Amino acid sequence: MRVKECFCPSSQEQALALLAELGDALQICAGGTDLLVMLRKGKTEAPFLMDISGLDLSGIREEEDHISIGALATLTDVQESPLLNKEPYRFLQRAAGWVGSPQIRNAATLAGNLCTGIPSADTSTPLLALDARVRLASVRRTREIPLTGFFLAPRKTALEADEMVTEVLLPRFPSGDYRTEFRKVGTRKELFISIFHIASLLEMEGPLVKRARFAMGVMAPVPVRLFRTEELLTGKSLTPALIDEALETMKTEVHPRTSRHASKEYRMMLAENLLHRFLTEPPEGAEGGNLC
Amino acid sequence: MLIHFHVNGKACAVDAAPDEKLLDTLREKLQITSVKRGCENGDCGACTVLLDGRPVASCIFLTVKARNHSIQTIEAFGEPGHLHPLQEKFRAHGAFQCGFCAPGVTLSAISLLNQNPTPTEEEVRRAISGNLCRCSGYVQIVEAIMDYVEERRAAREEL
Repeated sequence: MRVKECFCPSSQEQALALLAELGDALQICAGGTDLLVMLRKGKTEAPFLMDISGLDLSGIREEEDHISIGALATLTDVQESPLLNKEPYRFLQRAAGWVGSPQIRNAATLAGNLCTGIPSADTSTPLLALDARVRLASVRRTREIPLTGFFLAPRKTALEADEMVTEVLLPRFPSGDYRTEFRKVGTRKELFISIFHIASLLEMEGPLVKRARFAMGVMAPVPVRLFRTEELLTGKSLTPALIDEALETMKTEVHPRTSRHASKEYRMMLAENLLHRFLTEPPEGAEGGNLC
Repeated sequence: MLIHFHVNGKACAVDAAPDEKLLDTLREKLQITSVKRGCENGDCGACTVLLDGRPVASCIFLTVKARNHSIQTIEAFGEPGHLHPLQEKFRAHGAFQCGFCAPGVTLSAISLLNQNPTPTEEEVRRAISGNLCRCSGYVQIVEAIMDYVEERRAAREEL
């Protein structure tokens, strides 16, 4: 269908009024890097576009009990933010820094990466591990939901037809001994759609795991947190026997499937090997690298 | 709708369709054909332009979103007979064969060098990671950029 009009509201009130009026017929464009591909391929039918770049939603700010990432903050903004260049947020910077290419990261937004609702959205796993929340606005109300409740099915999120994401909120963490890791796997080193991605956040207290958070992408219809594996490790020492048990528990929490990009057996092997690596080896440098 | 923006330092106004891509505006309405139509998927980087100094893929960038911004194409930096010194390096190193990727690679490199005049080879490789070259294997491209970086570093140290 031809796009009839592109609205360019200059305030959130105007944007929400348009959303309330047009609902699903209105497609929000933040960076547009996913949307324009979908439009070209005829995979989205909305007759109206709304460019939200005129809204006051950019910037990454430290607030009393959280860090707020505005819906217009690009992946480059996330990658370069001094507020996020510290633990336990560095794996989010790393994930943002491996989405697409520099050209894509300069336009694409963090919120948009989530709103695609695709299991390969790289930033979803560190955000899940951080217990991120998403702030949604409509003319009816403003609400906050945990990211764990945001992904419903591939390309389907909890966003209602008249709602838009205005902020992604990261809780602040007490100082501690954190190590965070992110890895994505694909067919080459750069600019690929992940066939698997994993984020791991560990807080250690001496030899004991004080806090463990893991999330995996492309291992189920939506990115998932591994709550049972986390619970198993919490308060314990990472012995080889416990790590083996954790890997077995992890396998019960994911349901990979075979696609043209990778087999479910291969994805499961990646999940096991990388989780094992994160639990046994010292953290790698900030850049690391992708696996292919 | 009428979109106002700056292209290579000049104020422009174009009448853009609501779903018009910056690539089409630049090529078809402003006749800037150094911006190449490649994959139209954001994968190849041939359509790279600088938006407020940062590379973006113009094939997946709405023209409407470029309003009030500044766009630079390779013409902002070099023209035949007046090449940018980085372009001279590319020529000296035989960096390009068919040249289709050249404008995009050059813009990505220039953007990096403006932010970080002394990048490492790894930083250079990451900065041009969104630009596919199907001729060269990138070796001469990276060598040319590093040669330029080293030459400028030496020139600064002499001052």
